[in-house]
Amino acid sequence: MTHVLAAALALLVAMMIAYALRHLLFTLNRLFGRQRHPYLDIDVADWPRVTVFIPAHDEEKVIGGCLEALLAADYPAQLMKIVPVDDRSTDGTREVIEAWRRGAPERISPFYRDAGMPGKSAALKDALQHAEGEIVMVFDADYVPSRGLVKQLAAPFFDPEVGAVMGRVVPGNVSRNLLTRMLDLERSAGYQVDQQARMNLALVPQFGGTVGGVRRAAMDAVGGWDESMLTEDTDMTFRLLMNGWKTVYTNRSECHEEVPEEWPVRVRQVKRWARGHNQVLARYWLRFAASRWVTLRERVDGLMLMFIFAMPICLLSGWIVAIALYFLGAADLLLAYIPLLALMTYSTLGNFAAFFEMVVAVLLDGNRNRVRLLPLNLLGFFVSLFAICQAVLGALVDRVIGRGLVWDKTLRYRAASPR
Amino acid sequence: MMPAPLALMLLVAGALAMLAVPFLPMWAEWRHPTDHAPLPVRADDSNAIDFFANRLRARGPTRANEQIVRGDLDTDDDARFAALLVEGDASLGARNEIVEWVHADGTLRMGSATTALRRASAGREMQLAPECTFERLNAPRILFGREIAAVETPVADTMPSLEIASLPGAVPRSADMTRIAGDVILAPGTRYRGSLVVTGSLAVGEGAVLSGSAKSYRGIVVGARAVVEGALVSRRNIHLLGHCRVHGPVVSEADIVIAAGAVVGSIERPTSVTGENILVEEGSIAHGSVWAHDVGVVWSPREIA
Repeated sequence: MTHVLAAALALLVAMMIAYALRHLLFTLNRLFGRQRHPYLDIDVADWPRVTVFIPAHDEEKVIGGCLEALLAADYPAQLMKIVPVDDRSTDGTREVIEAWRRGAPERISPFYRDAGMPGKSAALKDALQHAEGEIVMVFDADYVPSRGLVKQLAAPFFDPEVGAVMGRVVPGNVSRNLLTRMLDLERSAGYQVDQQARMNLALVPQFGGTVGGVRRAAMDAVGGWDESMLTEDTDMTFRLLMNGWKTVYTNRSECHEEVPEEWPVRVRQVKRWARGHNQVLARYWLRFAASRWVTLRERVDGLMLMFIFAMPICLLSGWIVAIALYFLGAADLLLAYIPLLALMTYSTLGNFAAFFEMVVAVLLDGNRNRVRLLPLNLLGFFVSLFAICQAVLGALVDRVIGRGLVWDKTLRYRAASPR
Repeated sequence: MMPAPLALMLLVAGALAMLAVPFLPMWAEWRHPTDHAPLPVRADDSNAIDFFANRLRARGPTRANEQIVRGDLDTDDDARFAALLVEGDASLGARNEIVEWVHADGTLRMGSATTALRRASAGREMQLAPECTFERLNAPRILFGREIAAVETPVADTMPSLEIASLPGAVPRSADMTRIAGDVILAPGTRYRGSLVVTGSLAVGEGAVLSGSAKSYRGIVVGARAVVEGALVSRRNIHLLGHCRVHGPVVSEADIVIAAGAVVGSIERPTSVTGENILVEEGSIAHGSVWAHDVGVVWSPREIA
């Protein structure tokens, strides 16, 4: 028994070290590696026709700002169709959309959805029939794209291998409270370091479902949006990759978003991500591992990315196994099988490597003092750890009792924009 | 000798004190924020090359080295400018140096061995003499060196035609895009329909027409008088040989060499050329933007001879 537990612990420690090394590799690459921005300089071109979707459910406070920004974009007006996708809003979202449509009827074509499965994937799937042109872009209703953003996101599609493009999401409500400040650090690390390093190293940059676009031909080739998935973005990233299409990241294509300002909202968001991500893991990991279209480095990185929301379970399991081994009187065995250094790495480096990313990301962004909040992210780490574990267990229970997925909308905080 | 319980208490206290150290600045920053502004994202950020020119036009010079010329401008040899807006035509002498940017509303002529370290743009046309070096150029028409007589390009409709998807080893990934493992040569004098991604190198044969875009992992050579109707993308070098035409963007993460007579883009469909280093032979033309991350150079066989 103790030997089995010791072997399990050794495996878990090895996995944690692999993830820690991955974080360190990404961070060092951002500091010292060659930075790839191959499509950023395409500023003049025969631009393709794009359709911009704005999925919205009860977004009366924010959708006006998004529409206003898109109408001011420097993309040729005749080549850009704006489609607000209102999915059964119960607030004044439709009235806000209609007010904007009356101001630009030739450019804004709303899609009002009153039936069907709830959720962003399902809404986007239904709205796709209203798309025109080769490229579909998605901006969540709380995003405010800058003038040049649509062009920047369209430019990579001149590369015939590009199936999806992702820009950088930047919290706009950082100063609201401690949580928003902590999430700002986390987002910086995720985009400024993780995503850009993946782009630099030709690994697997992730399509985030907003501030990004997808090539329609590629989407059609892989079966379109899947309404049964909670995280349609992760799902699309992997289905594209498994079928020979790349996702690229453009770090300088930034757009402000609202991050959660309350812990319960944040916990629900993390749970949704965890469940959706693990859905993708369960459905595709084997097919992805065997795909002929994926390079070795993409395969390794992609699998690690797929398993990322399974790691908290591994971490908790590791602690439980280590404690069990101790109480089973296997302290000697522990010493014999697991070098002390590995245990220390397990309990510190495995977690702190991500923090290392945050520091570098913040410094790359030209900030400094906010790094002082870093120790508090331990709190965020533990909240995420238990939220993810709860989500995974909840998903298992749902599977056993046959309960369907529930879409959880993220709360908005901004005051309504006038129109 | 210290009693064991006391030693243990000291150890715990010491460990807690060390743990608390990073929380002190954290507490100060939390209670009295000094750095909590969102990362700035300019709403009017548009990457437009004439951004600085338009800003200078709107607000007037604010620095000693910013200049606006109301009309045409001719400069002497060896002149040096920081930021220069010319509302007519500008003719820069030999060996001029532009440190930040230059924009002419009409035609911008850069004398031999002139250096534009950042942005150079024109509302109508740019003409760069041999040995000019540049970083970012933009104009409806950019002529490198002296113009040479155009050569007739193939007429696609009269050529033998093949679908890209019918090539050996081709695996279609969508109605328009095909992947091919290994090197690919598109036969001379043949028209190919569709876009392709090649894991090896790609050679577009002399006088061939590619009605689509192409990406190659290991470099691209477009033969003389060949036509590419879409974009060219590669992580390695791209060579455009004499009198070929490319209508879409040319994107290399390495170097781009453009031979005499080659034309990229058109007046009606301007486009972008971007690479680490761009070597342009006298007699070639680009419409739109040419952006060298490191350096772009105009060269002439006459100068070398």
